[in-house]
Amino acid sequence: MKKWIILLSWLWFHQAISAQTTLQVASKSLKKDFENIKSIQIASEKADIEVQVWSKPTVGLSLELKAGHPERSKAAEELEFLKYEIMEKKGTLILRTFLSINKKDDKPSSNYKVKWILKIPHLMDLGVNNTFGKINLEGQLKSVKLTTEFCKINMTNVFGKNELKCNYGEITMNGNLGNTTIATNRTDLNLLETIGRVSFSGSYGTVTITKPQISLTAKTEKATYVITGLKPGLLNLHIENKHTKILCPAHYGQIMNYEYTSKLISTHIGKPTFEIFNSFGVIKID
Amino acid sequence: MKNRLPIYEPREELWEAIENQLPLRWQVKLKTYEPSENIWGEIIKEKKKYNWYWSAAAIMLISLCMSIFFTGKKNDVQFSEQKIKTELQLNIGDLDGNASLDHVCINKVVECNKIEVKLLKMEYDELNAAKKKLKDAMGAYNDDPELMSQWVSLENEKVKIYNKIISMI
Repeated sequence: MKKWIILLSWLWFHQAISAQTTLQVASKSLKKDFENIKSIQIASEKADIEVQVWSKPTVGLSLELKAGHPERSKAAEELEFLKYEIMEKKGTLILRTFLSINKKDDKPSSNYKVKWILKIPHLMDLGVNNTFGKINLEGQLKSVKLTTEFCKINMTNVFGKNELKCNYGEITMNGNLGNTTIATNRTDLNLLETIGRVSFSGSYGTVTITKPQISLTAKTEKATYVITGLKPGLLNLHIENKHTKILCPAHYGQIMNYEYTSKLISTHIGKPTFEIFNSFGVIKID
Repeated sequence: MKNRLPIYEPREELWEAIENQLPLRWQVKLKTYEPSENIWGEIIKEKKKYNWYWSAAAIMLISLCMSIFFTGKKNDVQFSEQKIKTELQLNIGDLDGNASLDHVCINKVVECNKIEVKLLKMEYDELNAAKKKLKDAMGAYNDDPELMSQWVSLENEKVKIYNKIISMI
């Protein structure tokens, strides 16, 4: 009898726990193709955005809107607050999602999610304004401008001119980056086997650079650098760290330690310049 | 010759005599009756009843069209279930950590007015503001591990700064 009571209690408890963690997700989706588009502007929040370059001349758009709540009717009702706008204006595709709540309505409690998937022709201009979402970009774009907060950005082989801003988050860049300007605050930056030209300014965060072949200019404060796979002789190095030292194996050259500054400089004519000016942080080269 | 012959009209009684000899069904003159008043009332009632039927049918048709339209709209919404991990939910309590910092500074005014401490306090406030934004985004049913990881990272930064401030004052 006692065993049965324990078993039933456990089942009841398990059921109670499960009920707390099950969301009913109401979702809407949309698919549409567009022709003669030269640029795309996206403004969203909590949006996962995926952009891939394909060989077709059209833009293939897919949008998914979701609202999750333990009560199914509430999820469906609150999904209606999440609106989208798709406009075409002089060759620019303007995409927007937003919450539209009347004053009389309570603040929605559902967990909202937006997902944009865009397949675009090469050499397009892309502008994204997004907070709390993932952005994945792949392929040759003419220009990219990302303004984000709490970001998770992945860029792979994105040629062209790129401008990235992020407060709190993580940016990972892979392959050819074209000409990239990055401004961050408390954001981790990963430059993995990158080629191209990168200009970076930021504060805090960890900067991981592996096998760089880039021309880099980094002006940072309180950042932690971890550089691996740096080939001596492949780049012109100018690395400075104020108020803290540079940690580096001897074969990269001699580190000059001044009162407040450590410097590592090695010059190779005709090679890309790899410059880091950091203060109150750590620079570690393996 | 034909035009010169005289023309005669038969007498009225002759027509009547012929008509009387005709079988009953060919006779033109039949007896007529006026219907009673209540029959007209019945006819009007019937007509009204049919009008009501038509109105009801129209309403039913409109309702059917509307229900098809709105059902179509509702069908746009898909439903699914999602299990969310309890560890991705926030246990909020320390959002207002400033309160304890301010409390410490009441008794150590000089130390708290040092530039280094003030700069750290600014960073602390900045992190608190970021955490507030993050908390709003996570809501009551967060399912995104990325947001939780950012929350933890901000919290760790905040603790480091708090400890630094405490060690300086």
